[in-house]
Parts: sequence; structure tokens; C-alpha cells
Amino acid sequence: MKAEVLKGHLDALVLAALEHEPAHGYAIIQRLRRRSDDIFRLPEGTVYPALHRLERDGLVKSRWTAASGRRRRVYRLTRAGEEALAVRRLEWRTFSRAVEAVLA
Amino acid sequence: MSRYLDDLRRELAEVGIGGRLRDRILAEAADHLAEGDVRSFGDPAELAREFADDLATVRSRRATLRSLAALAAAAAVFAPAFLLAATAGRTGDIFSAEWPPLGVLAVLGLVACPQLSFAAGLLALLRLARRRRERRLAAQDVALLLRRTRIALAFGGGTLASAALYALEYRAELDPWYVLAIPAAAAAAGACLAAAGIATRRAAGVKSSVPGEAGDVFDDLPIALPRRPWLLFALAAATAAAPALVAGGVTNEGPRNAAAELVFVAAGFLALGKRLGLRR
Repeated sequence: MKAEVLKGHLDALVLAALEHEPAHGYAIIQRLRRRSDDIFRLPEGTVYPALHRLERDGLVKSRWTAASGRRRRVYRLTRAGEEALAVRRLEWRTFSRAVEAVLA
Repeated sequence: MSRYLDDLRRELAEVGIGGRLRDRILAEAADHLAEGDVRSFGDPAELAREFADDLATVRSRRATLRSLAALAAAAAVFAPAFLLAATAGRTGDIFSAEWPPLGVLAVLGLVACPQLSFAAGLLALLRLARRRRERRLAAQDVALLLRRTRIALAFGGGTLASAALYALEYRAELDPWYVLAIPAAAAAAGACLAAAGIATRRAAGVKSSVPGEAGDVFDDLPIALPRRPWLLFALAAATAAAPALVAGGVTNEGPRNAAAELVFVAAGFLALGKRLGLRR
């Protein structure tokens, strides 16, 4: 799938990837690939501007941890992030139902 | 991997991202690339632009809000300096200063600087409010917002300097409390303006690449007016001159003060109109 198409939904996808468990950037990319059956293939670095944006908006929080001798930034959803995800999920369902109705 | 990180470091510096944020981005990229593939991480220039486009918007908004707060502090110094001068003993003779040219400069500064600062600050606030829902501001929008903010800060600084100079130059006829309190308060508010100026400069250092036109003041107004800058000038001039006419008295100093206001507004419009986005 084209990266440009995904970009508009990236924030919601990242929130969804963090819904059940905290993760670092690489793990988030892996989750998105796995859950989309490898359809979501975007430049992996683009997840970081999205994570920083979500953190500035208070939707995720992050902290440094250590992994294999490296510093690793691990992100988790905040309460506001959970609420934002629920709203975006609802918006997406409404939107996709409407598109489906038109295209079908 | 190290070559990619060097490229990313250079590209981040190119768009004005440095310090702790750049270190964090590079550390996250290094951790990612230790597990992933450099080729699928994306173009470093594109990634740096993505960060910069977000950051330019966030920092310019914050810097403008901080500047408006600092300008409010400056106004809190200017208002008593202006209103309490007569109570504190000033007679009104402009040439009674310790060194008259400096005294005249202080008076002119007290008249012109706050008006220009208020106008530029109001325009920055209008632009901020008008674009408040946009996730990313166009590069031209950021530039206009910060230009308005910088001009407001500069004239805010001029206002404080004029207030302090006024107190010092006319100290012979002013009460001691005024001579001590106004320069001290001006220095404190000046520190707030300087801090806001640093934040504004920092925000301007981040280069956004988001396309789009900044437009002009007509795009900021909540009501649709005909796009005629000179009509706007006439409205602003009338708004500034009318109170001067009334306050000075129609048969007394009013007409002279109103004429001076018209000259100030015209000079401001000609000198700063394009920079403030009043005309294209």
C-alpha cells in the first residue's frame, strides 16, 4: 500500500499498535505489518515523527529503557490516548461503512 | 548504519533540529537500525523534514503565546507609566527633560511603540486563532506569524525602554517612587520580552517545508471584508485618530494629536505593511 495513503491514518494506527502493550518504534512497525498481513509497508522511520507528535499531544508517554546495551525509547498509551483511539476507531468505522456503501 | 546516522544528523541540523531532540531522534534511529534494515527506514532528508514540519508549527505557536504573555506584562508596566505620570508630578512640558532630545525621544517612543506593538501582537493573535485547528502550518504561515510576533516584541521592548527613559529624563519633576518603580518594572518586563524573543528566534530556526500561501490580514479577519488594504488603513487611521481627537479636546490639542496619529499610522502602514501581512 502506498505510504502516502497510510500517512493520513498513521497516528490512529500507531495508537492501535500500542493499545494492549507498550512498545518501541521497531516493535510498533512489526505489529503494524503483522496485523495488516504485511500490507502496511511504509518507510519505517516515519513512525518516529508520529510518535513524537502523539507524545506532544499527550496521547502517548515514553521513557528510556536499556536493551542489549542500547538505549531504547518505549512508548505507552495514556488515558487520553485510549480515548482518542476510541474516537478515531468510531470515525473510521463510519467512514469505511460509507465508502463501502458507495463503492459496493 | 553509522553512515545513515551521520546523514540523518546532518539533515536534522539542516532543518534546524539540534540539541537534545536531535540526540533523542538519533538514539531512537540507532536502536531501530540495530534490528531493522537501513534501506527500509526511509530517506534521512524526508524524515528530517517530517520532524521539522511538525516542530515548526508547535514551536511557532508556543513562541507566539509566550510572546503575547510577555507583551501583557509589558502593557502592565506601560499603562501605569503613562496614566500615573501626571499624578507623579509631570507638568507636560516636553522640553523639561534632563537632556531634551532624549526626553522627546522617550515621549515619541511612549506614543508610537505601544501602538505598533499592540497592532503587531493583535495580528499575530488573529493569525494564531485563525489557524488553530491546523495540524501543520504552511512554511509561509509560520514565517508570517513569527514576523508579526518579532515586530510586536521589538516595539514592546521600545515601549519599556521609552517608559524607563521617560522616568529618568523627567526625574526632576517626578515623584521618587515613579523614578524608581517604572525603570525597575520595565527591566523585569524586559526580561520576559527577551526570553520570549529567544523562544521566537529558536522557533524561526526550524525550517518547515509545508507548502501553502500565507495570505494577508484579510485571511485573518473573522468577517469578510473587501480586499482593499488602503480601506483597512483608513479604518485603522480613523480608529487611532478619533480617540486622540476626543481625548485632546476638539478645540484644544485634539486636532494636532489626531493628525499626529494619522501620520503614525500611515508611517507604520508604509514601513511595516508588507512585513506584517497587511498588504501584499
